[in-house]
Amino acid sequence: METYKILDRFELMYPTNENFSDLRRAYIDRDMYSIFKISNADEELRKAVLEKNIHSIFRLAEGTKIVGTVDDLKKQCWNKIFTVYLDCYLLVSKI
Amino acid sequence: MLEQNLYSLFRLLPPSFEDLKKAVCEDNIHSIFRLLENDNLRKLIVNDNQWALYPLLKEYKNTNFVEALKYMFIEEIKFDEDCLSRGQLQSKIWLVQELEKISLDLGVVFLCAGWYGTLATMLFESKLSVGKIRSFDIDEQTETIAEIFNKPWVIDDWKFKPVVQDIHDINFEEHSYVVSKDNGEFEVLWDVPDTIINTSCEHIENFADWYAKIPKGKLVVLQCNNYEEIEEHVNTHNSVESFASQTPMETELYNGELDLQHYKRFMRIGFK
Repeated sequence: METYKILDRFELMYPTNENFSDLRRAYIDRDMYSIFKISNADEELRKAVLEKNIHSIFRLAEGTKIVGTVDDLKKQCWNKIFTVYLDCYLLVSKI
Repeated sequence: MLEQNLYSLFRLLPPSFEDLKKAVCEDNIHSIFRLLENDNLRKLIVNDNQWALYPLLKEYKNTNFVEALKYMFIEEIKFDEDCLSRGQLQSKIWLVQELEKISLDLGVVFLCAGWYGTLATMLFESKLSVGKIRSFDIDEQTETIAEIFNKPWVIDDWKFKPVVQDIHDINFEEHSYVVSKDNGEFEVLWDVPDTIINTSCEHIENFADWYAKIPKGKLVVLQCNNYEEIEEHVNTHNSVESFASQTPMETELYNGELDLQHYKRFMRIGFK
C-alpha cells in the first residue's frame, strides 16, 4: 500500500491525533512547519530556519567563541549600525 | 542584502554551525534534518523510504494496523487494499462510534462476511466490551490476512479467529465450526453468539433466508448500501426504511445513513 494512502487512512481513522495530519503534510507537501512540529524542534531553531530570525540565530550561537575574518565582523557591525540608523529614522519620521 | 549579511554572520561562527548556515541560508533539506535529528522522518521525506514510515506511525498511535501493514510490507504479502479504502473505513468508524454510544457488552461476536477482519481490529481497539470475535468468510484467501490484522487477539487465547465458512451455514443458536491452527491442523470450536454483525448485506444472496436464521433477541448490527453498479451487489437498498423492512427488529437502537459521495450506506442496530 502506498505511503500517501496509509497516511491518509491514519488521518481518517484518528482525526484528533494531529501527528497524522502533520505527517501527511510533511510527506506530501514537504511542509516545513509540519516537519518542525512533528520533530518537536527547538523553538529558536524553528524561528532561525523558517523565519530567518536573526535573534534566534544569535540565541542558538550564545556562548560560542567567534571565529572568522575582520571583514565579516565589519559587515555585521555595518549591518547593525544600518539597522539602528533605520530604526531611529523611522522613529523620528513618526514624531 | 539580508542573505549576504547572514552569510557573513555564519562566517563568524565555527564550522559546527555549518548545518545551521545551510539550513537558514540555503534551506538545505539535508542540513535541516541533521539539525532536527529525526532520522526516520528524513528517510521518509527525503528518500521516500516506507520502512521509515512504520516507526513513526507506531510512535503516534498504538494500533495493530501499524504492525499488520508493516508485516505485509516486509513479507510482500498482497491484499485487496479496498479493505482500507476511505469508504470502508468511514463505514466501520461509523459503526464503532454508534455502538460506543449505545455502550452494550458485545460478548461473543459473529462477524459475518468479515473479509480481512479489519472491523474486528477496530472493535478490539475501541472502548467497547468485546468477549471474542469469530469472523466468517467464504473466501479462504481472507483467513491469513485476517489473522495478521488481528494477531494480538489471535495470540491472546484466540479472542479472534477467522473461519472459512459460508454464512448461510451458521447456526446462530449454537454453532460448531472448524478453525485452522498454526501447525496446519484443524480444531473444532463451539460457540453461542451474543452479537451478529454483517456490514456486507448488499453482497448476500437469499438475504431473507440468512436473516431468518438469526434467533429473536440477538443483538444485530447490519450495514447495506445503494451502490448498484457492482454486479456482486445483489441486495442493495435505496433507503434505510427499505432496509428496515427487510430486517425487522423487536427493539431498534439505531437507524441511520452515511453519505459516502458515490453511494450511501445504511446501518441498523437492534435486538431482533
